Amino acid sequence: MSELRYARMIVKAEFYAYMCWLKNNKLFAFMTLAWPYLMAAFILGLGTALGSLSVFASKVGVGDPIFYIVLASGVLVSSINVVDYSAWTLLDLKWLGVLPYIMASPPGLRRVTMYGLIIPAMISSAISLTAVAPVAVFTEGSLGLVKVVVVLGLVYLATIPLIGIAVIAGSLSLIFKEESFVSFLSPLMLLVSGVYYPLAFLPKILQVFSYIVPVTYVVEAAKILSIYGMPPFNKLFWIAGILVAMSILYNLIAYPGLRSVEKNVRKHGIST
Amino acid sequence: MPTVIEAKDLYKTYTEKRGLIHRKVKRVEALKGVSFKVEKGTVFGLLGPNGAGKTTTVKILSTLLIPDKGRAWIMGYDVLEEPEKVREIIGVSLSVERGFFWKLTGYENLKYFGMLRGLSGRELDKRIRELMDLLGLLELGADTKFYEDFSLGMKARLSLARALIHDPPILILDEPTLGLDPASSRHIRNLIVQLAHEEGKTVLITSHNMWEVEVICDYVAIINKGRIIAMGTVPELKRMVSREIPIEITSYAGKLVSEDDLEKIVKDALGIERVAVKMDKQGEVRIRILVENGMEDNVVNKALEILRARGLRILEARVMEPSLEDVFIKLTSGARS
Repeated sequence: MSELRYARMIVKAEFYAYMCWLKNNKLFAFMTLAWPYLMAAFILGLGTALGSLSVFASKVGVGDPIFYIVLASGVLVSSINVVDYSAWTLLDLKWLGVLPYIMASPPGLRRVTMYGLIIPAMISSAISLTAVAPVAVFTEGSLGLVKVVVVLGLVYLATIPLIGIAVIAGSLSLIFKEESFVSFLSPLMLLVSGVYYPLAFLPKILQVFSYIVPVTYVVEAAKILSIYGMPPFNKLFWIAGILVAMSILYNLIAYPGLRSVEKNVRKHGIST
Repeated sequence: MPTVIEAKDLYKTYTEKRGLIHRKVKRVEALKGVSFKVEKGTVFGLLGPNGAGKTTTVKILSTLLIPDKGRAWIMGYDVLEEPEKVREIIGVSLSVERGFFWKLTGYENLKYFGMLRGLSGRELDKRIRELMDLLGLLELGADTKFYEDFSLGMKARLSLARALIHDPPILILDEPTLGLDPASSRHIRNLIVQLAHEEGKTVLITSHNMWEVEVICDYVAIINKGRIIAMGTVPELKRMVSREIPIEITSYAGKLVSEDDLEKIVKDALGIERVAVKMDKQGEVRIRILVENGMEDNVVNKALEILRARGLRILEARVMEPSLEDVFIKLTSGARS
């Protein structure tokens, strides 16, 4: 069977299963819509209690602070969803006892994981950013909607390297039987992406670390979009380029990583 | 009949390492040279106690585990060299308790796994309905019920349905009736026999339920401590452990003949020394004859002939064959000593 046929087959199967899962967990779908607002409300509440929106805007370097916080929260929530879902997938499959059946299916673990994770990541990102669209339209009119679409495109570009990072962490957890590899990813991303504060506030080591996290660049794009009226596409293309490079780099590590997981699991055995 | 599953000299030692800093290493020898062949259209049982190496063997054949040494082939495809080919022609059930997504229904779970095998559309829907009907899952409402609400019996049936979703010629089932209620066990047993004997599929099952193996398997391999210690049909295995088989005949003699006379008559006529006769006050006589394994049918017929010729009424005749459990206990205790 050709690689393309495997990819098509897996994408269809994962799309079906994820849509069924959302249908059967309606509260989760609702929470995915509500979560960006909860985060934005928390940050806005905390920010206005400690200072003012204009201070926040000048310190973080954004234009319209409400637009930015809501949009950036959408970016952050979708990224956390992607990382959490992707990183925990291998362990979840193991705990559910599904992993051996994925391994015993013709496409095998590597293909099902790499092609399969793209679908839930894209759907959950679309839900999170659709949730923030009404506020974007309310604050900036139809241009706000264009900006949400641009950010969604960048989030999709960031999804691929994020899956790569998450799969590396999930693979390490499976090999070493240590869950800590996946549980620190989301908090770390939240810390170093500079969503709610300037990156200059971070210690030098974390600032360096923030450059290798894809979310940082999407957040940067949200900042740019909050400043400019029309999206400055020349600046956004740079960001898109960096994300594409990260996609290639991280997945070049993740794919062989999964190969070694599969080999490791086949060597040491998997509980059934 | 052609061989469709072959395992040759399989060895496997598990090395378990835990922790990143303080590495603890534990070694367990699971297989020590396992070899067997399975013919097309038969049910082959791998029988053994817990930890004997059954599941390890099944995992190797299902391409889930790499042996340290040895080879295995499924319909000529090497499980190590051509795992993708092997996966296309086998249906696997490794655990009846889990292995599905809890928040999907039985139908949705089967559809997902069917799609992973390249099935789709009406063909897949039809296949799922057929299988759910065949396994009695439709009448249990498993098509619309979440997997988390399934009983163990429903889970086992769904596991078998998944193994059959792509209509594979080979089925590998690890303890397919473990922990099930009698009705579910019987349903699955009947289906396994039907699949092998009527549809020509080859089924390899593992079990430590001796009665079940005796009832459904055409061939049995007894595995203990990573080694196959006996293999053959159930009658062949029984003959392996028992040189002498007791025959018990109950008849009514009344006052036709005395206990001692009858014993002498039977001994002389059969030429067998190990005959014991016991008669009660009502004239009912119990004759116990110890015969060499394999001779039991001839001896029973001849003994009945003699007794009838003397005018005795036959009430019951039984060949006291050892059960597979007797065989198993004798062989595995032998291996321990």
